[in-house]
Amino acid sequence: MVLLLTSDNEMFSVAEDVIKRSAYIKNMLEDVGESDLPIPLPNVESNVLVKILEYCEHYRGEPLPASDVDPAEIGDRSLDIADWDQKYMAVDQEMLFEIILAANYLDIKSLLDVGCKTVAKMMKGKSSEEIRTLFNIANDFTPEEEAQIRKENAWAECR
Amino acid sequence: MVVYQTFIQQWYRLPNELKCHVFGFLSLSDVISFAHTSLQFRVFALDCLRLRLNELVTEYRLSLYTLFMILDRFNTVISGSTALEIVHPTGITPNNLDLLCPKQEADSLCSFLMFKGYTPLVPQATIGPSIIDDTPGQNCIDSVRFLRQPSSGAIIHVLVATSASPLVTLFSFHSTFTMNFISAHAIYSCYYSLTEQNKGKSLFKVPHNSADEQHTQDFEMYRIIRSQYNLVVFSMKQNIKRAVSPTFLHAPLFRIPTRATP
Repeated sequence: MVLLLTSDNEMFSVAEDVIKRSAYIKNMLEDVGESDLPIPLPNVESNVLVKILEYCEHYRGEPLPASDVDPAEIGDRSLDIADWDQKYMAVDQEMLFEIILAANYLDIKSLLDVGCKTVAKMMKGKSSEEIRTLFNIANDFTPEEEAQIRKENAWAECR
Repeated sequence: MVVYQTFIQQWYRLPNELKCHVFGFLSLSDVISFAHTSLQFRVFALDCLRLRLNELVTEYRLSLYTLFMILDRFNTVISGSTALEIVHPTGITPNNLDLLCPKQEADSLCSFLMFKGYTPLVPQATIGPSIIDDTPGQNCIDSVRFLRQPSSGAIIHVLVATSASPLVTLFSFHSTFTMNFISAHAIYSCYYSLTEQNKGKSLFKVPHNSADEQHTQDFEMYRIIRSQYNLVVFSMKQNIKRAVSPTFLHAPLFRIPTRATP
């Protein structure tokens, strides 16, 4: 078992094969070896870690990503998300972004991709005006700048 | 409609590399839509597209500055799978870079690439028009030259056009995969809009289509007839000079060189 200490000082005892989906923890275990000391996770709160562990538990036994993958490899860019992953990501926005940040910190690439795809799907296929309304984005273009953008694209508009 | 009130606050919490990762899943038209929402997103979208292009051309050992200088000085455009990957990212790394150049610039372009260490594989190899077209010259490709980067093995295809414009090869070619291109100043996507939405296009009436789908297709046909292509363009220049928050990707990776006046 591996002990994990979250930022809000909660201790979790997790099976090694579950948490090894995190490349960060996996590398740490390989470097440090067996230890009774908890691994501190100062960037992850307990409620987020619970969610992360749910993901790792679900994919327990699935092959881990190869460690010799070239980091420059771009990877899958399709927006397809597995059914279970979609249900898993059906959380409020704050938790969604917390999961992304924690997946990034813990280096769980598959979870990071699922999180980023979920955010990308929220953005996909919408007009600028819809995006502004949907995401509450203030239009900070001055009238002159808007005119400049229209001018740039005027010749490419559908006629 | 669900309004994500806290989206922007949450978005700002992501480090830039994660924001870019999210943008990496979006097609060019989605990136453009976001770029037009606010100045900060516009600057960010530009940087993301440059980074995306940078990822794709790493193997060619050409900096983005050099690449855009090539596009500008030799009146050349990038097409093929590299342009497609920018317009519709799939995660597939193209195994070659297609540069389309006009006939009068071909020798200078190849000389420049050889100066950069590339070695010609099959000098002056010509794709005979009969291979692709029944009518000789229909594809407007004069010749294709192959240059290899010695250390990475990456291959550049220089497709030489028969005319003074590199675009004749693009629009005379059969495959729609070449209907995207990157010039020194912008990224262009000339897909039919339904192709762009991954819906394809039916030229015949499909009896089981819903009324909505049929209406979309009818409208599409009407639109195609009137305008032929749905042209999506995103200027790679940051024409708007106002400074934006330093929390965004900021300094341009390169300045687009301007053509030297004779």
